[in-house]
Amino acid sequence: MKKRTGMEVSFAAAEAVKQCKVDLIAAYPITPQTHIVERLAEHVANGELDAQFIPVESEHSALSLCIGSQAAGARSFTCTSSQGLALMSELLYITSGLRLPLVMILVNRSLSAPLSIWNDHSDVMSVRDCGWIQLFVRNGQELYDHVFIAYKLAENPAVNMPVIINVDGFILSHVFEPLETISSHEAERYLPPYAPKFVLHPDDPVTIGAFTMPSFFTEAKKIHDESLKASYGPILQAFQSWEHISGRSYHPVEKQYTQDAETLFIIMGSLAETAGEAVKIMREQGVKTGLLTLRVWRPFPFAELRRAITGVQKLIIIDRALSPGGPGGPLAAEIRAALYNMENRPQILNYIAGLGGRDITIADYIRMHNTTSVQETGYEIYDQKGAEANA
Amino acid sequence: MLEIRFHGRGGQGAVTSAELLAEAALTEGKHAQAFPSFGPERRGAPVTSYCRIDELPIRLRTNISAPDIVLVLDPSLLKTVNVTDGLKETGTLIINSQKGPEHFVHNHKLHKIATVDATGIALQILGRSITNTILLGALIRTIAPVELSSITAAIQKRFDQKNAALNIQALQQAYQETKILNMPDYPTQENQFADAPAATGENAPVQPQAQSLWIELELGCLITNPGNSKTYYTGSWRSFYPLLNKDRCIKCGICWILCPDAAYTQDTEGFYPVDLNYCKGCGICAHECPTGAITMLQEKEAGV
Ligand code: SF4
Ligand code: SF4
Repeated sequence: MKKRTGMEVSFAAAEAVKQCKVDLIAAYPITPQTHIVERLAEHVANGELDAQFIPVESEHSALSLCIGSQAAGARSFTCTSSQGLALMSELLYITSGLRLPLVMILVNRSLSAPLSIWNDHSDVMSVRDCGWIQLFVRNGQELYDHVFIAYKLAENPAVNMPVIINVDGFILSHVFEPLETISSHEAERYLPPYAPKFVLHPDDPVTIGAFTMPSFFTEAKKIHDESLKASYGPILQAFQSWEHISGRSYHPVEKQYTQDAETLFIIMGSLAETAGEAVKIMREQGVKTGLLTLRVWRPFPFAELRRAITGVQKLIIIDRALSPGGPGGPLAAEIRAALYNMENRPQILNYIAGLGGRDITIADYIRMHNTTSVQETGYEIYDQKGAEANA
Repeated sequence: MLEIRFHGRGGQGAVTSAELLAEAALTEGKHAQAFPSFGPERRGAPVTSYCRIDELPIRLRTNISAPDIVLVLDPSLLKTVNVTDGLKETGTLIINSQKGPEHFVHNHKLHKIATVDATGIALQILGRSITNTILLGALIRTIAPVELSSITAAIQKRFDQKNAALNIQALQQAYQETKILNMPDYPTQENQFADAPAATGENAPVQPQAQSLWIELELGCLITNPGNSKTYYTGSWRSFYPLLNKDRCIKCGICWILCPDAAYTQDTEGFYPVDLNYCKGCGICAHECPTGAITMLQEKEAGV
């Protein structure tokens, strides 16, 4: 086994960004993203990373700046959370529409109000359709690894898409834990220098961000959709080549205990780790349950998901965001839609849980699994106290 | 349902004429709608507007592609815009032109073709070449989708007293002077295709909405040939052109600064000659020139 180093997860992310030799970092501080960018600022200040660090006046400017620098041919990085992402939202669509291969770490935090600095997925779900590749990680090792994978993928000439890496705020971002790093030599081998097809340069001018008439807009969107779907193959390739470097293998849908499972939990992000422990305990008690974790949220892994749930009777989908007045959490809503045309669809229970940093324990997962109640509205906002009282 | 399409230039009031017509239909208890072609139109650019009139409520939210009537507010459009595109075979074509309607015969099945010198009337009565209400006079005379009194009522509602009176005077003069060709009466061989409206002209601007165009979109819709507005000859939009009187010019460069289409460049003597490929005839330079060295003159209609 390679040597493991104890490190705060945010610092591991900064280390990976440094090893990817970014040319420019633009960010505005917001809890709980701060440790990542503060560490990067240190790397730039002490000369470990030869990059421009631009402390801007808002997240809107941070992403605007990255759009410009990426268009000028500079490998760029930004990082935000919650309200910061909301302030970036118009530019998110521009980044992907212009096909600029920027990488952003989104340290997931709930959207105000009420004001909360703690973790859930309401921030990323508010920009679900922004056209970026969207990945979720479960632990510090995965975050470190996915920084390299994200740049590899984004800059692949067959992809050319920006990537958001989602990491749960505090509950993961601020945890000190062991992980393996790669050498700078291995990093260079995995990630060649950024070589865009076009750059903004006065010697060879191009126009980016031009306006389009109704006769082309639909085509532009169709290309975007097809390109995002087609990035699925390059995602698998990026995972494979990462496995050659690091020995760690990743899949768009991670499966645990799915062999002859009658029920499956489905979740995204770091809570999958606790859920995995709960599933392990239930398995030991003879309960035929398993766990699916979606690592790739966009492009949505339809085929892999359908394969993974074949023969399963019940899905327990845990959403970390709410669509108020809507059909339940976004994860469950999309999975329902994905399964609609399947014969022998499983029953779906949808829990909206862990909002604004609320803990979900092993006991909670077991309680969710053992419930026999029918969800009249198609979902239930899980509240521990009520669940305990009813137990 | 009667569907009417107006072709004008940005600033000539094509949208207002469509709305006046709809307003007039409403006052007669009919149903009507009027709407512009939505887009980045600017002064002088070819624009279209639309009007629908029916006895029943109108629930269409689409452009009019097969109009019953086409009105052309500016004769220069005939060389750059395919004004009869989709015009029904039994439709009616009404053109602002000094020429007679027989010059515009292109399709013998048409119901009627009419012309009126709307620019002449506009300059004479309104003092500027706003032809929208004037063409409505020609429309009422030719096909009367609404009563003349309904249009004048709509004008009175829309404009202040002085302008309403002038516009109504211009409209009534157009009503008198409109020349109408009833196509069923027209000998089929004579004068065929004389000045038939053409889809393309020498300086025809690129038609941004062209449907059959195949273009490979570059990554992120990036444009690899920047500065391509040079090939967009806004000069084809012009119905007036600026004439410089060098004796009065003090070489201040105000015309050069303010021309919205950068049609002026400085020559070695320090004067500012205009490049008519790009001058769209807006008249800003003449208006702003501090010494009155620029005069706007009307472009001659070819063959008049
Ligand atoms: S604005 Fe008039 S005076 Fe000044 S340079 Fe132009 S034409 Fe000459
Ligand atoms: S040259 Fe004068 S009339 Fe022509 S476009 Fe420029 S400002 Fe307008």
